[in-house]
Amino acid sequence: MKSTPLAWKNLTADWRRLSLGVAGVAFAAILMFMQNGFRNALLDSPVQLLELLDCDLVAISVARFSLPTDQTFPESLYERSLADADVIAAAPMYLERMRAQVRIAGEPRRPIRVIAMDLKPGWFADEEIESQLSKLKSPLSALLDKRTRSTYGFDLPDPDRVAAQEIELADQSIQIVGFVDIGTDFANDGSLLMSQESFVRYFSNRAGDDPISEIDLALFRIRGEADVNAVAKRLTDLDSRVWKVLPRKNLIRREIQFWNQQTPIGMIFFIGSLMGFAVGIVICYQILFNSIHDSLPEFATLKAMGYGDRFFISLVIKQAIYLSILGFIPAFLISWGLFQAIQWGVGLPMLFTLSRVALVLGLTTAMCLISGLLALRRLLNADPASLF
Amino acid sequence: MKQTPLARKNLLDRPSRTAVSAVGVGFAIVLMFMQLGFLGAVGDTATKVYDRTDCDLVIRSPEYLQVFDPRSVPAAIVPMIASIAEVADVRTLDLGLTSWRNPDTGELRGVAIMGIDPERPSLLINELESLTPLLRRPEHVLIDQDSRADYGPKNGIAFGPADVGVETEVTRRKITIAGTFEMGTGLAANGAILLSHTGFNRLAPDRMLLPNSDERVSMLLIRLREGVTSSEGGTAIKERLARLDGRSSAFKVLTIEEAMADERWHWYVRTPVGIIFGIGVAIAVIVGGVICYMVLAADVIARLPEYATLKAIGYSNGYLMKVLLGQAAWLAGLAFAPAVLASLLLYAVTSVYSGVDIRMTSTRILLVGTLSLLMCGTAGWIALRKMTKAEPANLF
Repeated sequence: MKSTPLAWKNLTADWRRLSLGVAGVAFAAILMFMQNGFRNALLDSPVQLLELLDCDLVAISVARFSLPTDQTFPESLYERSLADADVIAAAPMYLERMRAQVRIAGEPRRPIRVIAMDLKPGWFADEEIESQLSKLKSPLSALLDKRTRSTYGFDLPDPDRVAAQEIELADQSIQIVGFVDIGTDFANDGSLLMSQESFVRYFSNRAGDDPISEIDLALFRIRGEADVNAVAKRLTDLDSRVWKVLPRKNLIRREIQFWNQQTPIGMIFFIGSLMGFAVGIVICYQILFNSIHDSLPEFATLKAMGYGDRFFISLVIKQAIYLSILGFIPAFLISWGLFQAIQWGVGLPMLFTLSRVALVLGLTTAMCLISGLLALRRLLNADPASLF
Repeated sequence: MKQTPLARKNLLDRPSRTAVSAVGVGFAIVLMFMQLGFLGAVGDTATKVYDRTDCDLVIRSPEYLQVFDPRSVPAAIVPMIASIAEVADVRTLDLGLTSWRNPDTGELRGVAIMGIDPERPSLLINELESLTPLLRRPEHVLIDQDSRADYGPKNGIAFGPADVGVETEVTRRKITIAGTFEMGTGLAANGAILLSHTGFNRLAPDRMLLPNSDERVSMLLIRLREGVTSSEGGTAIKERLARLDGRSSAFKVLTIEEAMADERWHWYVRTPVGIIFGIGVAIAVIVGGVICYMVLAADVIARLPEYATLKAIGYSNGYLMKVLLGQAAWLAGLAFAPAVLASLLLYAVTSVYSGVDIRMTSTRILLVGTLSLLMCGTAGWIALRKMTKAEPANLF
């Protein structure tokens, strides 16, 4: 005989209560999504540039403890590294913020991050950037990050209107020839991408009149069969007091770890997520407790008929899992909408990854289970006779 | 005849259920306290430096971004400003961010640096009185006791007398710790050092780039003569600046109150952290409302037969409303005190582990108290509406 799906029937018996319950669980899940999303947004933002690169290794000055710190290494060291047998391609990358004062007619001057590269294709993993690099061949031109904050006064998002604006970089005029998508972070409110040749013209007083003799980051691609870590170590050892060469993924991890430890973000959002979880338990407990409470006579009858504790436990567990799934689906959809809105409105990178979604789903289920089992205790302790 | 205190009796009827409800409401209150606490810490960060100044007006660059990235103005305008009749005193302040090498492990950390004229300090810092002579040497710095432990204090907890004489590097140049002071920089940096204007020029990254950087300062702090209002003084200074040509005429003149409000605005609205906590407060209030509604709605549903009886024997909707609002108020009241205690505890825990100082203020208690009463009241009112619409007969 097919057994009655009691958990489902109990849950759906009163649709009004069910919708209240689903709303409650969804609320807690949204809260966790948001807290987690904010935390990740803050930690994802400083590595957006690194994520756009297509290379195996990145070289960085040992004094550059975080990417926005202006510390460079000499070009001569970079050139020595080119002799390594496993290096098949390399490119220097220049970053400038301190001298990069941008001014749009009528606005105050503000620093912007200028990223300069050799225009050989293939160093960016982003199609949009790659396809526009050829535009940078015209001198004194740049691609503008379309997520640059509005404080600068760029007439985003219309390319023609930005092209028509009178813009100065380091007191020389500059032409915006296209848009790319890089992103802002704690230190950078906007970015310009330009050729090495333009960079030299704007920042001629950098590094004692030879602007490209000091390099910010060097990108390396190595032979497929070479061991990434061994090459990284060998290149670092060319002068380990001056620079450090590490796999791109490791640099990304190091940067995220830096911001996580050096700012209170990690702790604050951990507490935030914990509170979302606790709120969820409280809400779920209310719902499951009331559901059990109201069906006590029925449960008592079942108990009197000889159904064991295990039956009730599995019943409540099932009910809790159904509730968590029912609540999670709308929460996911609403959070997705909120993430899009925040990403678009505030410019923070609110990314959904499978592991983050799975984490919140796991937490939501755990939350419902814990509260379900808490609510169950009363039922299990009771004597059938006294339940009526 | 004495009226039955029905709201209270309802709550006391099933204490365990009431306790659960109160815990729910308490959670909502704690949530609000935490998010407001974080937001408050952001606001405190903004004015940490300005709070220590003793001035009426601030002159700074039009390119000013935030307090630790203020850009600079030429020091040459100091005598000119000082000669204005309304001005009693002009002092200079330098601010910036750079790197600090942990003397113990050699690791690098970001640090806030502040430069003052040792003879005429522009910040009110108690320790300065006795330590001023030491700051005459450019390589001498005072370090903030509130700097985090990973800046390398000898005792592993906080900088103190034992660290005096320790040598390390700031912006890759040698410095010596000459003493400590207490200030705190909030979210802007995890550590701070104070030194002379000359020392600052040696270490600040933006000064190293500029030609003639010795002749620049981050901002001027102006005290006006007694009886001169800020707006009169401001106008006089602006008029004098307007006579200069080129970039100098664009310098910003603000009252200290404007500078503080401007800074708070920057931190609340322009930094990701401020925006996020602002959204957090809104979420907390909504979540709180939802929890209260669920608690009260569940109670109304459970007692429907009783309410229906009351209604049938002639009690008005208004009476029932009063009962439920009373109940809501009681719940909020019951939950409030433990929630404040829990929040104080969480503030302390967060302060220790995140290094951000979160303090309880009486305005915040008042605000959250009002918000929780409103929240519970609104939730009770919504929960009640469906009951008042019902006919006594079909309520059973």
